[in-house]
Amino acid sequence: MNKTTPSMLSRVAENLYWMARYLERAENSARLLDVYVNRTLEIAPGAALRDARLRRLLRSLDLPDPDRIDSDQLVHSLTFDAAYEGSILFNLSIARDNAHHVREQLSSEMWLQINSLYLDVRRKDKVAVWADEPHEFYMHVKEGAHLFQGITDATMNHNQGWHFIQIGRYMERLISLLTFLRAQVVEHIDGTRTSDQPSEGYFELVALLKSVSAFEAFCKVYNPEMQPSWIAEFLLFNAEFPRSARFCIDTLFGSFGALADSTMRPKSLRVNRLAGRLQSTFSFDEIDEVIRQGVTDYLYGIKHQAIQIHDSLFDAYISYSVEAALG
Amino acid sequence: MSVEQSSDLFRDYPFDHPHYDEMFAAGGAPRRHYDELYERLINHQAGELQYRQQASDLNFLNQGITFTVYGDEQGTERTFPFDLLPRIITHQEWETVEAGLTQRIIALNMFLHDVYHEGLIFRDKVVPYELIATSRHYRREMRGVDVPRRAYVSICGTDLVRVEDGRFCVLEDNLRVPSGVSYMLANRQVAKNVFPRLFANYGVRPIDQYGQALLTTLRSLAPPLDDLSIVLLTPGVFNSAYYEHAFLARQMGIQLVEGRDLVTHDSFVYMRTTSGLKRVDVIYRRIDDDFIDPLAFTNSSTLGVNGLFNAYRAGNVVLANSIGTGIADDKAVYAYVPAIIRYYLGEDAILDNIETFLLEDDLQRAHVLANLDKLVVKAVGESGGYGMLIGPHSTRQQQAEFAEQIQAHPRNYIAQPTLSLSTAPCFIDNRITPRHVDLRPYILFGERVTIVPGGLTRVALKEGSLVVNSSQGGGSKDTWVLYE
Repeated sequence: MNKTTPSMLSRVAENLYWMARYLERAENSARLLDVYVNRTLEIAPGAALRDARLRRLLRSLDLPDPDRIDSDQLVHSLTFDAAYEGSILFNLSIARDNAHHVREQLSSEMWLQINSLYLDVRRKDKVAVWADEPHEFYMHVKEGAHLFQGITDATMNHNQGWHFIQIGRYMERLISLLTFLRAQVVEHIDGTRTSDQPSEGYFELVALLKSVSAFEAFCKVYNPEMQPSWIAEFLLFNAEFPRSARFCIDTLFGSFGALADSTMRPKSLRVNRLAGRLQSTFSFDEIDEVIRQGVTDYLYGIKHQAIQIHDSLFDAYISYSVEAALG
Repeated sequence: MSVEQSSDLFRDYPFDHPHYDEMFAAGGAPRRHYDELYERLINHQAGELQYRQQASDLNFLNQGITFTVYGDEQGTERTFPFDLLPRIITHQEWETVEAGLTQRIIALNMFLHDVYHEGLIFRDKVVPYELIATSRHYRREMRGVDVPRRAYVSICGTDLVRVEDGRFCVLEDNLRVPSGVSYMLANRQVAKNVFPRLFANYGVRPIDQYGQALLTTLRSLAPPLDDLSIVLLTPGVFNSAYYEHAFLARQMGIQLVEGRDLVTHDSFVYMRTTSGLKRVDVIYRRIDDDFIDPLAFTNSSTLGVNGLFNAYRAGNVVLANSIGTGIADDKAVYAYVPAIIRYYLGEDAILDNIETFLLEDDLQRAHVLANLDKLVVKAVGESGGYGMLIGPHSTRQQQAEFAEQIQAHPRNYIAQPTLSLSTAPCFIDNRITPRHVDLRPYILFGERVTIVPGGLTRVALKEGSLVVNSSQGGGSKDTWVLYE
């Protein structure tokens, strides 16, 4: 038997990467929609308030702000409209298409899970979802994505392919977290946002943490007296919370190192250097300083670096030029 | 024992027919090599066979042995129907078939070399040059190109049928990208699970070495490098045979690539990997000529590789099969294969052809047009059972349409007598009943000719039907070639 590590096709790496990114994106949408729908149920806000929240939700998903908003219609589209870029179904179908193309590289359990999650959402009786408890539906999507991650870790060789999945997942998580912070947290810190209803400040912040599944984890570290700057600190710099920016970049950096080893590339590859630089930023920066200098600019700078890392990943492993590769 | 006394399973099994039955001789006595299977079956109840059938169906599904159904947006995959009862071929029968197929592939490769080089066979007026020049599969670009080992066709699937007197005859050669070998291998796995003891008692020659034999064949086409890089080129997941492509790549331990994974540079072929570009030496391609290189052939294709043909012509990469092999399985050229064998090898064909009428000949055409209701008409460049008129099963309207087509483009069609393919017993609807079958052995041509014993027995599952293609309601069964 030939036991050398076989080389991996760039196309396969690309499919695995995008599969993980789009699945993470679907989960992200499900979380944000779940919290939005729930908040709307709890207190029936005025139409203006609801629209403002919905616009914030769209910005959190990096989706364009429409001129007119039809709340129910929009929530429905964001969930079930396969043609609406950014909807849960849209993201799941792209994730599943990518998986389909590299089905040979996945464990059969992985394919089964991602395919049935997609088919479940597609075939869902929409009327029943809205009539009953939409929360259950969004939970199903979140759990489905978590299950896929667990199955992936438990059934797939932790080889190059697995690292590309990790990279896709944490790259998407990092970028969507930065988008979310800009759309929802900055205004609390700047004080430019007066609470929807004066007494609601606390609930706003709780909802905010719940949107990134961070409420419980946050309360274990900080006392429950919410401060917007603590939330920003936690989501950016906490090394242990698996949805923090710091955690994302740590994981990315680790996987880039493993990739360079298994493809016999130098550790000094550009993508590794960029990731290392971002990692040290997160290790040493302090929230007070960030706030003094302006959170929006800071987040913008980080996102720019994340995109550079994505580009240099592709330059190194996937879409390199023939001339450079043979040079 | 008389047949009437036998088990209910064989109730109504007909013995009075002109065609050859694989299990029963005329009169209804089982043939000697089927004795043991027959004994087993008459001691079985339908329920037990049904149970085994379900177990085997599940086995196929779980192994993911499926083909994709075109036009289904959910990407539904179906299993290729499998019949439980093996088709058994004796040692002597197989010896003849093997010798005949070996002779045929050698002659066809010599013919292809001649066609694309000196053309001696045209000069000697054995095959008319016009026949080749007018073939849709002729590739002018291949003239003068030297092919390693002169192996134009390295992987061949030849369809055999058994005629009334029990002889195997060649129905057609598939010299481009024959498929189905994965079903042959899967059928064997399942049959061994279904009838383990029977299988062991029978002494069946193994076929599992196919993947290894294919790899050896592909290797033999390239210089003996240590790190020879061999890939299987597939059109992608939406191709109906994708399962087979992935299966064979896994069996051989080679990369399964799509056109977009390959790039050419200075007439060398590389695949794009995460470790950089890797040179490719041999491509087992499962993409048709038309799509393989958009620069050289069809421009609209997105499946192929730009510049591949140049690299091939420069001798920097091996393609299996070569390009332009389709001229030799053109159904009009088929009629000349016995003459081709005689011309190159000085031997008579061991396996006979089916009588074939060429429609450019005025006399033959007149005969065919007068007898469309009795004959089978086939389009010369088609395969997979498409573009066919089966006279006795056709309407007047269909006959009229074909008559018109034949008169307009006589070169595009041939006609053959309606064959009574042999039947084999199949387990269908809880009883054993005959269905028409053919046999597709897989022939490998590299340093030597290798044929794994047997092949894919395809079954026309519809009662009375003669069409065995998987795309048109066919199934398959395992084929047992006996040691003695």
